Amino acid sequence: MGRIDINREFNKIQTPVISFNNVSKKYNTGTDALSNVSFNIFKGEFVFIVGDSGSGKTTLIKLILKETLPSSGKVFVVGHETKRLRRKTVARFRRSIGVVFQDFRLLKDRDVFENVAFAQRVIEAEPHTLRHKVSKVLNLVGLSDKARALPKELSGGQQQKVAMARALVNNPIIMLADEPTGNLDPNSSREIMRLLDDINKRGTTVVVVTHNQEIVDEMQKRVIVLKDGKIVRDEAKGTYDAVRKEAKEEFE
Amino acid sequence: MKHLRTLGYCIKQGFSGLWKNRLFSLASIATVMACLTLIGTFYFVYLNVENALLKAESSVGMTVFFNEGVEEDRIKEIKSKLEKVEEISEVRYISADEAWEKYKKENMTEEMAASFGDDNPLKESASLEIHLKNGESGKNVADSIRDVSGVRTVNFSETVSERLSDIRALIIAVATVLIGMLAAVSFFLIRTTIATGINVRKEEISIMSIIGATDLFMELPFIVEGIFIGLLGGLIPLLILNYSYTIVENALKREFGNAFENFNLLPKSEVMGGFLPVALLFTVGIGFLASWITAMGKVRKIAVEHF
Ligand SMILES: Nc1ncnc2c1ncn2[C@@H]1O[C@H](COP(=O)(O)OP(=O)(O)OP(=O)(O)O)[C@@H](O)[C@H]1O
Ligand SMILES: [Mg+2]
Repeated sequence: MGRIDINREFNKIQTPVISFNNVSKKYNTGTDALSNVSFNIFKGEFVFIVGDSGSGKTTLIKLILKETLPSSGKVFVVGHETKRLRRKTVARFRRSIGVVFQDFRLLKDRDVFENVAFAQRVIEAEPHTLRHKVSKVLNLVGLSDKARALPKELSGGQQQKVAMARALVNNPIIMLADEPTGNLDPNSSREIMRLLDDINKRGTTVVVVTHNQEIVDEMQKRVIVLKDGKIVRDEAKGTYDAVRKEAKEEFE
Repeated sequence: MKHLRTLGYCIKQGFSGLWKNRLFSLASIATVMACLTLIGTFYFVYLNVENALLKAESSVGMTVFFNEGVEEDRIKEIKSKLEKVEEISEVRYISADEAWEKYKKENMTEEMAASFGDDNPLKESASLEIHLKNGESGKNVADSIRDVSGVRTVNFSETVSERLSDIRALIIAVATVLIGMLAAVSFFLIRTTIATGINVRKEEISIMSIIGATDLFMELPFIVEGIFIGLLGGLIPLLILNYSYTIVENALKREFGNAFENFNLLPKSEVMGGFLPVALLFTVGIGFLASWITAMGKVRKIAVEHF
């Protein structure tokens, strides 16, 4: 435990991989999705983002990816202020971020291998590097034997693992997951979370948006809680909601 | 090497898109084909008709007649002056005797001609026969010769050259409108084809962009598709036109033999050589422009909507 804390302290002197400085986001419909949000995420951290529906979690992810820009405040990701990234460099910037969605988003007409290899083709990888890396990540997610299967021949959990392999194959600095277990049963959900934890232990910074209370409480990771677009809690070994935490502390 | 491989990948994707979207692709290719076949036929017919008319015209020329009492020397003097005029290629002196002989031969029986004996009723009818380098200048040349003293009249058939330049202007106008319309139809059909293709591959594009594909990487397959539509739409009608030209050429030769030189078509290599590169540039250009514009707009829109 102590070692992890030292790492955390050490990290704080480094520049964060993700940094929000007083960020507000108002959509042009007039909705205030985020108001004055500030936080830092350092290299190697594992962070859960939780909160009610509509609290601004996906908006936060979109801001990290430069899919949308803040109305005010600054978003820094891997050393770039997203607002100042030019259109031409966005592609390269996105290669440092792996993204996983609730609905997997695999190409239905291509097998597992090709779905993962796709990410390597996009970055114009050498054929032999491609083969090597794809088998490596497939091995990591435990799907080496399914390389020639089509997505429809896989369970939801397996499909999400393919999506994770795809997000991982280009060695991203950050892994973003927006409700990766939203469509999965409890067992598969645990497996996916364990895999995210594995990936994190290998050095990738992981940010997970989730509604899965039990898992958040079990995993004892940093938890940022959003409510109506504001950060209401940001705790090192946090829990899904405040009541539970109090109950837990009393119990301990 | 890296980019070559990527280009290969994009071309492959382009062809697969063409095939997946084959109904629209076929419609687009057919439209471009129809467009080029029409333009080509029009152009070849025009070239040959113009050529035939010009040939016919250069043998017409004009004839200058003089007032009574104008001496032969004066006529010869005018002749040598006319020979120096730039638009004129040849001036021939037709003496009164020659004119009478010709008239007799063309219009009279021998009996009738003999009845005139040595009389020449056309003895005041020496003339100059003028051939022009190019039909269009005819009217101006005729007008200025009319002002020369001693000239009674200039016989000049204005029909061919005058009409020719009028007709040419009309044909160019009609052709421009026609080509413009066909190009527009081709352009919009290719746009629709590419847009449909992009819609079919919306998910793939969305994933590519989140993985970090460059705009070019996402757009190239569709541009390849557009260029290929233009290429096929251009090459097929060129082959058809090339083949039909020979058929028409041979048919005319068979029908008229070498009796009338005017019925011979212009050499195919001359006609095709000029048309082929322009035609291909035209169809490929339309394919490229239509697909590029469409891909740029639609792909970039998809690339920012992931959630
Ligand atoms: N593109 C958009 N245009 C306008 N308003 C939007 C847009 N996207 C989100 N919103 C609004 O912004 C607020 C925050 O939305 P967001 O998607 O970030 O919430 P969330 O926390 O991800 O919710 P959920 O748990 O349901 O996914 C909501 O009120 C939502 O309606
Ligand atoms: Mg959301």
